[in-house]
Amino acid sequence: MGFLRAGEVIVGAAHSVVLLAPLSERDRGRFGSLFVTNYKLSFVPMDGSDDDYPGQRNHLVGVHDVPLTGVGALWQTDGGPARRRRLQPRSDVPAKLKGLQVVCKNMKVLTFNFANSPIGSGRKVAMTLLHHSFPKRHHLLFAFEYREPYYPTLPPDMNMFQRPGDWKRELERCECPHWRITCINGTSDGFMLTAGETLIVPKSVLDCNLIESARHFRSGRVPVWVWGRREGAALLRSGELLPTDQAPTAESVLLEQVRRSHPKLSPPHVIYPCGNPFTAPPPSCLPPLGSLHAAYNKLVELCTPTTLSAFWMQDSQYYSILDSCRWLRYVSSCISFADEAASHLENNITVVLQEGDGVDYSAVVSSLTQLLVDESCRSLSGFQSLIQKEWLALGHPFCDRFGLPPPGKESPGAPPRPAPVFLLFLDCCWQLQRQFPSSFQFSETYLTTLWDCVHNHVFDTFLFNCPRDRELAVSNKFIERPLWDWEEQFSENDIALFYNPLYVALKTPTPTQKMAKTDRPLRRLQPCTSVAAMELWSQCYERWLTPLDVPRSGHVHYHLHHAGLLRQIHKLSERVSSLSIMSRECNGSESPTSCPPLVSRFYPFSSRGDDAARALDDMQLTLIDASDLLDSQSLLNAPD
Amino acid sequence: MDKHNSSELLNSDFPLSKNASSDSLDSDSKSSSLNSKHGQDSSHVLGDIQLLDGEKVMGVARDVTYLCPYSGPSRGVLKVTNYQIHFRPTEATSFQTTLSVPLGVVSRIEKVGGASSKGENSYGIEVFCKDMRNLRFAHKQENHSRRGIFEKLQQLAFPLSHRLPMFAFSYSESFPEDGWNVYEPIAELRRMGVNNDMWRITRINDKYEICDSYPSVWAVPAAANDDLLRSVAAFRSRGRIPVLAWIHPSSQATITRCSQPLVGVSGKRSREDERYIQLIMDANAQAHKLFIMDARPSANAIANKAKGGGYESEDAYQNAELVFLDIHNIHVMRESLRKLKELCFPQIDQTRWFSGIEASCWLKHIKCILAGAVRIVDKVENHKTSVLVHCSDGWDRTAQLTALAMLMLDPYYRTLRGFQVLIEKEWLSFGHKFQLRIGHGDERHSDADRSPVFVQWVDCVWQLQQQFPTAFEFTERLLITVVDHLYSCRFGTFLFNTERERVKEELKTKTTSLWSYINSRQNLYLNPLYWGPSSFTNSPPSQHTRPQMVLVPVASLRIIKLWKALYCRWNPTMRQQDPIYQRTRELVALRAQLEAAAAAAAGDHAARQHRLGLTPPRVASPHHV
Repeated sequence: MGFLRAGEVIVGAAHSVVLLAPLSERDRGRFGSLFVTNYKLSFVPMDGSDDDYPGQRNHLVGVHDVPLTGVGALWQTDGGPARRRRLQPRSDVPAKLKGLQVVCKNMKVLTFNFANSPIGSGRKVAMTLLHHSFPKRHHLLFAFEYREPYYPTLPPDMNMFQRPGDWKRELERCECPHWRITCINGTSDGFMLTAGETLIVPKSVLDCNLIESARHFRSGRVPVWVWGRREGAALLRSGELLPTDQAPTAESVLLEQVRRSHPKLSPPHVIYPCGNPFTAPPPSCLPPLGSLHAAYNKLVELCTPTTLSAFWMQDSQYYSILDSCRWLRYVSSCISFADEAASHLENNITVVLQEGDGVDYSAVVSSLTQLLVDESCRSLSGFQSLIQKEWLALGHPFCDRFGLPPPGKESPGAPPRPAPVFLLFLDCCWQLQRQFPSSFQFSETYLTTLWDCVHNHVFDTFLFNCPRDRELAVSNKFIERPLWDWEEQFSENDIALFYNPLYVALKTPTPTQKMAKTDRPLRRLQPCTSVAAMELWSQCYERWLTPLDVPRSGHVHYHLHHAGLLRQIHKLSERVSSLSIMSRECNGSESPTSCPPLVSRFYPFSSRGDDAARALDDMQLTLIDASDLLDSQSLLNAPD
Repeated sequence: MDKHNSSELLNSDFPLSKNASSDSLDSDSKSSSLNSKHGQDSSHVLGDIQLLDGEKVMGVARDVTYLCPYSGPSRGVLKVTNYQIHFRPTEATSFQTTLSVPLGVVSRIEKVGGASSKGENSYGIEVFCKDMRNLRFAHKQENHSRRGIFEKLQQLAFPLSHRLPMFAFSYSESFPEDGWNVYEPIAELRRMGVNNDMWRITRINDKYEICDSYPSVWAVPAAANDDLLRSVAAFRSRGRIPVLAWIHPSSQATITRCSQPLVGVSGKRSREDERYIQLIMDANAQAHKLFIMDARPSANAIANKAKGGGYESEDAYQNAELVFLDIHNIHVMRESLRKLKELCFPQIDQTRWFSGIEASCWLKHIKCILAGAVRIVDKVENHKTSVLVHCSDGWDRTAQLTALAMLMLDPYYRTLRGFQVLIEKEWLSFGHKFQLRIGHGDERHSDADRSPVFVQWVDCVWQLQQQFPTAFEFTERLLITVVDHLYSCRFGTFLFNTERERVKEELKTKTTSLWSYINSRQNLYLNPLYWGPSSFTNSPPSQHTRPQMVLVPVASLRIIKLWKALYCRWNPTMRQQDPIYQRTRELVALRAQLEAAAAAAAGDHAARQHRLGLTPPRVASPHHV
């Protein structure tokens, strides 16, 4: 195997292992060694390295590596890909283990065969894997061992929402003078333990009122501001009311304060993504977390066939399986709630999202709403800032939802409920990208990569349940390492693929326009919310299914083509300016035609690897934004 | 129309509202390509209705309510011309604009409610269309207010049943290019290298006497003489003998097409037919084998024996291997599309959307056809083996398969012009019964011969386009336009069943070809992402610049998608919002502009330096450093 990170140790190994080719019977595969470290599972093929692998390469995990937190399930097999039995964490592994199948959280399947390995080594490695992939204690995760120093390279326009100043910036960006910052939650009077120290509340509300009202909301989640318009409308998130007698009164008092924070004094509109607990749930409401998890499990089943025959079996009833897993229905519900919220904001009406503990679906709907109404969230660093605000600062319990052991020594009262809420959000983002191909600065590849990296526990971003847990760990010498330093993991070329070549940023208003007192109409995206408009996120879920990975097919070609086009435009405009300014003859007319890329459908995640993408160097992409160029009036006279 | 279009292409604003322009104008229910005009100036605007050349208003009904399933009822004036149904609301709103539907798409017209029906808008007319929608009009419940317009509609929508001429014969607009010249059978055979040693062109069917549903020009094995062709015709259903569809430029492996052999229950044989098949096999020196792809399910092929048909037995045909491709017949396909329409129109049933798609089986049939074509491509391309394709009569499933396989094998057919040639050749000249399958101007809406075979093939082409976004010179918009005019009866292209009938009715002189219209506005259909052979003429040939010659799609339902832009097009909520091509066209235009600017600047320079009598400095240009 390559090399170990500082703090990484090998804890298990098996040699002469066969990694079966994806979706093959037991007849095709690669010989090699299987290592388990305290960080990752690593397969090292005997027939040399994969140095010429043309797709995305991660500096931290190799082509055949899986970070241990990325392991979803382990199966004992008979050596082939099909017959299998689930291995439960902390249970025993049978003495004669012929094969092991690893189903990763990103739906990659690795099937190992131990027929040629020394007797017992298969079992040993499986035991180690089982033990280390599902640790009992949070502080046993590798991030606590990793001693590499951290050098931040975050983009300057990213907002981490960690300090009160960060929230102040946001409030100023949104031009919302009727709201104020309170740091009461960071004190011993804190009432919303799962959120950060800084909250934004109506200017008229007193801290003591907040403390008092918090008793009537689940997890102390009183409505807090997350986004607003200069014209007055704001977006707030809160938890459900507790069934106390005074709860409705407490709520209406707070909502009245919210109303007063609107310059037009319009009352807020409350949206219940999971249904209003006091009325019958509407049919489109989002399911309990357990049902979402079940839907996800069915989706995993649909996307991880292990043999070709299973693949074609599923194919014959693909749509009824898709229907029964209900995943896309939930995706469509989230988008339609966000669309509803966005339309209220458009009409300058404040929206309050009220749901459960105020950390799950309200985070999904709130983030999506902002993607629809606020174009700055659609840039790459705007999107990362949005995740910092909605998911991290406001305390989405990533540990619980990803099935990691919760931080802290004592286990809390309620057992953690795993559910792929964040994936649901990423999926919704992908649907929006699909519907508005030129509105997002980040690409589909970025979203897929993000989902992969969520399970790389070297980074602390998705490792904690709430900001308090992170601070506690940091005070114990834990090194913070935000995922957003993409250079830590990827080369420039791979990062270039994160940018959407079609992206056109809307014009930021000039200062004079900003000063103008007239209200600006809100330009929002109006997505199609019907289930019929939803599609399965093929790149993320189906990229390991080799039969689909056909050369020159797929959506990736739109991306590559447009990137090539931008590159040519850039070169040409350079030439034009050099000709006019530098007064020098251009040497011949270098033809700007570039070649069609020879990649396959799931590039850069293609598991074909071999022949597919050699020709890419020429396409290798530059981060040119043509929106300035496109601005020129002359284009309006161009022939179509 | 054109105005709308140019603004659409150059609009730099985001289409943020649902009513914003969409790339595929044809998917816009309110301004479909059907009533679009070649040029604004050549149209007559008569009152408030835009008429085509040769179009006349034949009936008017006032005080009619159009019951739009999406935007609700709106009052207005209903007109019927010899070409279209035209409804104009008295108060045009952003939701309800003018409705214009060619009469050709009308499948049946029914009266709804009676004079005594209760309830608002319960009395009127319902028009059922072939293009996945129905139209409801409500009339006032007095004086038989709907009678006049109903009778006019019946008469004009079904001219064939009332001994009236089709609109295509009245339509008189002229175009710069005559689309009837797009397809020249001899030229197309020459393009493929015929005549050659192995294949010859024959005019034996010049008078359509050997086979009345085949074209007049065929390519057959050079070794087969005319007598042999006649005897083979006697053994093939309706005389449709195996003739050349496509020949591989390097391996000489061929795709040939025909109808089923007349084997019957007794298992008849024909030495001539067997010899002829052997000649087809021998014409390809690369393989000693021939695949016979029978498009039908084997059960259907066997059942056909009872009707005198059947399939080739491998005993009789040495070295031939018979494969059944399991594609169902026209009746199954008709029923499948009917179910799909129920799912898509008028409202999408959200709760059973995916299970409804499965239950309609439409995508499964598409998968089956694609898979069949892939098998043909695999044999021809990878095994250099010739393939003979047939079904029962060889004009439905056979045409689907050969045309699709040719599209995958030969990049020429993926160009705008090549695609027109492909339709002219494999569908029109080889006698796909468009008249029977579509029922142009015929009121017998439940006729068992109707079937969406051609639309299904266009759907398969769309699937290929989706899978290989850079392989086609044209976009989905062309496909939608072709489907629109498949029904519209504005052009002569899809009228009648066979070449023989079209010659007899003098279609080329009396009607206009659809290709005249399309080729006069090509830029609307061109795919800005196209990487075809023509884009590479300047660059040195290398392994990577070679355009992909053969497309091998994945016939998996994970990738085969429902063509919402066609089947759900009337539903305003289902429209594509932010079309990808709009921005691509902008970028391509910008590139062209910069290229021109660069050339001009370089030219200026050279001129200036020439004037100054300077020699060009021997300095590399900055981007060469």
